Amino acid sequence: MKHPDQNYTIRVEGEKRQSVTLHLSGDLVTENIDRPMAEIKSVLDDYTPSQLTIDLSGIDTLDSAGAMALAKTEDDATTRSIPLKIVNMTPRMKNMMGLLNRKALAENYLDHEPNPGTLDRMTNVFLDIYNDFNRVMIFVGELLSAMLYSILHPLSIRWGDSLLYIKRAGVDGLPILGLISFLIGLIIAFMSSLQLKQFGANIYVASFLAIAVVRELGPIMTAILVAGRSGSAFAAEIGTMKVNEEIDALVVMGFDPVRFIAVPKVIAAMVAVPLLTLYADLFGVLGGLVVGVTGLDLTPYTYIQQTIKSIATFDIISGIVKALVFAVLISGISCQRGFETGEGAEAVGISATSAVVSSIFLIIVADSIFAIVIHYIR
Amino acid sequence: MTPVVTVKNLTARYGENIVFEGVSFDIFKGEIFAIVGGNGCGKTTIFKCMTGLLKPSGGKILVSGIDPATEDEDKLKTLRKETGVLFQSSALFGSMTLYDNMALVLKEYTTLPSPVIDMIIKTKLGMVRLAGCENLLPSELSGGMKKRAGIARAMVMDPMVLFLDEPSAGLDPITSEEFDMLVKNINTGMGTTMIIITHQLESIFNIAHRVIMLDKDAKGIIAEGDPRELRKNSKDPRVTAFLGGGITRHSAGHEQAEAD
Ligand SMILES: Nc1ncnc2c1ncn2[C@@H]1O[C@H](COP(=O)(O)OP(=O)(O)OP(=O)(O)O)[C@@H](O)[C@H]1O
Ligand SMILES: [Mg+2]
Repeated sequence: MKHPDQNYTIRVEGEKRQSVTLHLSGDLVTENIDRPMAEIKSVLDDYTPSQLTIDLSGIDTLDSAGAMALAKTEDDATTRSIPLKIVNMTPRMKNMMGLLNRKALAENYLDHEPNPGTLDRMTNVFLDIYNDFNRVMIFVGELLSAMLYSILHPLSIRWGDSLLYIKRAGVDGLPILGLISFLIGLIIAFMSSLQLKQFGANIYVASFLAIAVVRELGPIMTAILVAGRSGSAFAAEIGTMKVNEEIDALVVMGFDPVRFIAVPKVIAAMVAVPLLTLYADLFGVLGGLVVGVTGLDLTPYTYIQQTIKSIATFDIISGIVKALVFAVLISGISCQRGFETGEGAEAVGISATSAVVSSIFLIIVADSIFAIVIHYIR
Repeated sequence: MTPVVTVKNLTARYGENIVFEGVSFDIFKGEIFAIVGGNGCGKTTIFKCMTGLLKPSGGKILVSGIDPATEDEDKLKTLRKETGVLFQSSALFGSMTLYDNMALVLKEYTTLPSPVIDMIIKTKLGMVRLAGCENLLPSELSGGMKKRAGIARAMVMDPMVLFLDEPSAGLDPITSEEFDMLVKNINTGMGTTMIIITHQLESIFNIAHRVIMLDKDAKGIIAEGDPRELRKNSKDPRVTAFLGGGITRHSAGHEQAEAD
């Protein structure tokens, strides 16, 4: 067995079912250790020697993988009850062999778990969703009881924290929310004006935009923006507290973490999101006003008159109710994701991402429900 | 003497993995009691059970007569007041100054007027040599200062029992020795019962009155008693190796013990 392109050679000396000597030479190293291992094994299979000697005199380099191959051969020989002798081992090789944990090598603990089938995987996905739903529901219960307690004991609420979060979630978000609402109002007014102009229905751009913004776009855009800005912040903050054992510290100091940490955030969101929604409504209409005045020959007065005429009080109130529900959903799910954080920095990132994704999902689901309910109330 | 902490037949497991079973010991008033053992033997787990952060899967714990796993709010409240905990990472609230970190507890459990609260906080910070730091945020403190601030916060209600999770981990030898002296002084001065989880041999010999040693493979306690006695007299090689300072320093540790 010569291998001109290889870094090792194995020469077999002896007859089948008799004493056999394997002369190894060259390098027994990690790179292609599979091949000498397979060859040695096939020699054992073919020759079934009564006595095996491995001669290492020709070996130049033996690394830990090479040592592993030798150890494996020894184990194989033992299981087949073939007496084995390894000769011409240098002290360095002996040291290398000494590093091996023979017991661990003999155990098959690396057996990979069988790949789950498609059905198993689907079951797992549903199980995950089901367990997640369960945990969220448990948290909803805790949050509700904490909110109830806080309403009954208003002095126990950490108003300082609430104010801080109102500033962070509300005031700090004003510039970006104003800009986005204004531009969306502008774009929608412009697009609709292209159509309505053809019928000379310029004035109805104001009505169309007012209804679209106040009923749908204002609440939704505000909620998505708050989810992105504050939902992620809530989850990351709580997650970091979890990782730093601060949540544990709260528990052993006798505080209810949900009441202490989540309630101020939920209250802040319930104050900030409705106000932000009204603000977004205003800027959306303003965007439309710019299009109406510059492109549709309307005076600001007629545009605003038409806007006010088109919106019913019901629309504004339903928008605020929506905003309140969105606020609870965003802050609630974000806090829950935060509390669920595992160990380490990575887990905080996962929680923050999951907070935003879950928030947006819940916002859209809730909005669809609102669309139906409002349709029947009206 | 009646025990302050009683642990009886405690078993803890995560899923299928049993961490330890049938662990029993008592801790008496005014003792500094150390829990030692190699990595993964369940020290943190036992600490979590004793502080009520983890429900044991079997057995019973009583801390000053109250089961930390109880659901009874009033009893829990009493227990929280009578115990202080120092976490491995200090766990100071990052968004609050040291003052607020400590005032939080005082305001929750007492109706003291704020000048008195100020005084108590100043006293406690002075005891841990952090006088004048009350308006700093935890992020503005060094690791050693955080540990001392953590112990000041844990001591703010003058608890009967203080739990410390690896208090000297991550401290340099001098700071760690200073911290040990602080623990000892609090113990002798205020009579606080201390339960310390630690790896630091110096700490064990300097301050611990009694020690239990857990073992991962034995899934329980392999030694209990005075650390010096154990080092000198234990027949168990695992114990002498650990307390003697590692496998290679094993015999050297023995000689030192005899010279003591
Ligand atoms: N949250 C967990 N989920 C699953 N297994 C865990 C969890 N925490 C700990 N374990 C397991 O429980 C055993 C004991 O862990 P524990 O953290 O109590 O050890 P420890 O004595 O504190 O070790 P160290 O000295 O490294 O801090 C370990 O085998 C560990 O794998
Ligand atoms: Mg630990």
